[in-house]
Amino acid sequence: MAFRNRLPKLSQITSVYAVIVLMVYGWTIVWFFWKLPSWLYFMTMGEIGGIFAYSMAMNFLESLTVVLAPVLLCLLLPSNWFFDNFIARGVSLAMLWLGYSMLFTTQMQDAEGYPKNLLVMSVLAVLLAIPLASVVGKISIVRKFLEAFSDRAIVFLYLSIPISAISLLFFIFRNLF
Amino acid sequence: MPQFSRRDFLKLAALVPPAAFLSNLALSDRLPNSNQDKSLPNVIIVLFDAMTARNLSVYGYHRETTPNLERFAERATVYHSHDSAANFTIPGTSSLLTGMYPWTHRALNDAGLVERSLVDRNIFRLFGSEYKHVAFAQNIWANFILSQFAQDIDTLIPPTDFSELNHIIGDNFKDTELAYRAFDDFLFRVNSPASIVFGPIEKTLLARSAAQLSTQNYPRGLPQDVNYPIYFRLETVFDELGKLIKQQIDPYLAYFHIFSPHAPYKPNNEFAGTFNDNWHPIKKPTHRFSDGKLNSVLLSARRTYDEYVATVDSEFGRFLDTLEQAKILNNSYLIVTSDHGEMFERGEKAHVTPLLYDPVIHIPLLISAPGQTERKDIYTPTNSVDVLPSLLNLIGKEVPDWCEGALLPGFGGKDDPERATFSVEAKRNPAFSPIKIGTVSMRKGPYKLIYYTGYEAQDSFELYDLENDLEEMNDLYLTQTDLAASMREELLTKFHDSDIKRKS
Repeated sequence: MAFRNRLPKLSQITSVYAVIVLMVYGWTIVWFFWKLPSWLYFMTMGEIGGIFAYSMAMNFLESLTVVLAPVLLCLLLPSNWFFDNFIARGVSLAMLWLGYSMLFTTQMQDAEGYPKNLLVMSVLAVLLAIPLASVVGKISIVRKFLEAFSDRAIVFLYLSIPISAISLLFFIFRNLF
Repeated sequence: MPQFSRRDFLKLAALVPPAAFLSNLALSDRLPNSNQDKSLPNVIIVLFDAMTARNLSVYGYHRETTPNLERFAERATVYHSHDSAANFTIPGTSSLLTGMYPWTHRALNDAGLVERSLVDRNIFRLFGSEYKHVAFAQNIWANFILSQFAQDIDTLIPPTDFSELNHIIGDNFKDTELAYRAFDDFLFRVNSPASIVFGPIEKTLLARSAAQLSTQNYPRGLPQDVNYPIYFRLETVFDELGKLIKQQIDPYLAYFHIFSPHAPYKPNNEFAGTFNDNWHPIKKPTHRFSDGKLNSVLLSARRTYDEYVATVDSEFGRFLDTLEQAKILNNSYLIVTSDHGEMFERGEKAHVTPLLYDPVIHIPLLISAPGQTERKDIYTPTNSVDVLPSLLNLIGKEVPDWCEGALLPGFGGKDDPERATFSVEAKRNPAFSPIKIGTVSMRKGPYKLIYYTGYEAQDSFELYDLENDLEEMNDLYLTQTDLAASMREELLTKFHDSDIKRKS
């Protein structure tokens, strides 16, 4: 199969990206609101808005990084492993990865209290996530659910993309000029 | 004749921005300001974070923690009753650098900032262009404050400089102040990073680097910042500061905020275990507002702290040698102080506390004047807000009327038994609103009144005579009623006035 033909369609990538955005941005926004009351004690709305903009710009880069993983797997693996049913497999892979990352993050204390057991398990998690994502694509009910879910998640892109664009511009402006 | 082609021109043009950038980096710190007046003395402020005067042998502490400060004291003015205006870094540092109390500058909270409309009231601006200004704060919170004054500082050294390992991201951006807040305080915070993808990756890299870090000479690990991933060796920090001082062009104002001996306490090989002497300080009752820590925990923490103080003192001694050998002290004021103290009593460890007992606010202040060879001792109560006006007076500058400090006795000031000084703990209040929950201590002559407001249904007070009861064991509030009433009135008037002033 030609290289180009192994790439999923843009609409498929968008569906997977929407779920990633939901999780990546959602996680940061939850933390943002958790921190907000303490920031309101000593920071102005402009300063808090600046932190929000930096966070959204970072989330944009993060979400793009995550969406690259299923796309790359499509290119590297046989088509019946990942390319077929890309949405369901991509979404399940992203959910497994980000879910594990959430667990990892909550276990983090400091450099000394680093969750080494979870780091060892991450190798296992990655090795399991790919075949699991591949299998999930073959289970009809799960596949349909994931496709429907990702389709509905696209609505978040109408918010995240303009916010990210403005945030990126703000970040670039503050650091170049 | 060789041709100068369009391609050559483009190559040359491409070299101009990096060359300009590099030359700017290399020269900006060393070029004198056009207004620099060589006849003026240099001013070097060395601030040790969380150094209580109560645990320093230079102030009579039982353990010999500071032989080098004692050596320095022989050529300095030593202030024996010097208090910080606050009990932690943000307000303590802000008061020192602005000459205002926390209720005025409003840097009240953890990681807080000086009121934006007051940032031009800082020591660097007031020293003017006759001086070169160089500043370094290893404590990132203190660096937040310095960043607010950045436009008045010629050389603001990043807090990560001189470190063995750091994973501070904000340093890499032009907009460092916001970058610290967004990246280091939020997205990549050591515990609980808000970045779900890069956060864990970054922390994995940090843990790997930290594990590989050589801890040679530091049996309990390298000294480090408590809130941010910065690991350093004290000897490197002081060596580099010594070099930095020697590079400066007179006259300069140098402000160095050293993170040690702030927790975590990491004494070096020479001092770890030095104070296993079974010495027990006087046991004090657990305070109702304290964490209720066991006495055994407090004793152990105190011992390690003392060993860390001795380590810091030893490195300060080498720094002092460097200054003496380079004859820098012949034309410089050297000020050694702290931003707040540390306490190991009444169930409380360190300084994150609503309590304002002596150990947590009583800080060292030693000032060596150019060429000074004799020791001078001052017992009058003084406060960290007094340092700024006194330094301005020394360099012949007018003290602004908004400054809440007074001239230090020995440097233009007089003993005034009627003068009251204050320390404020108010981190539980929004910086933009009146203080409703907090502790204020007022020092007047030998007496100290402590006011607790907002913690309980009723406000409460304690009164101590520090001249006869330095350990603050005997509360006089209910027995010395006349004195208590007059001091209470003065404290409450000042407390409420500060809010009225802030609103206006």
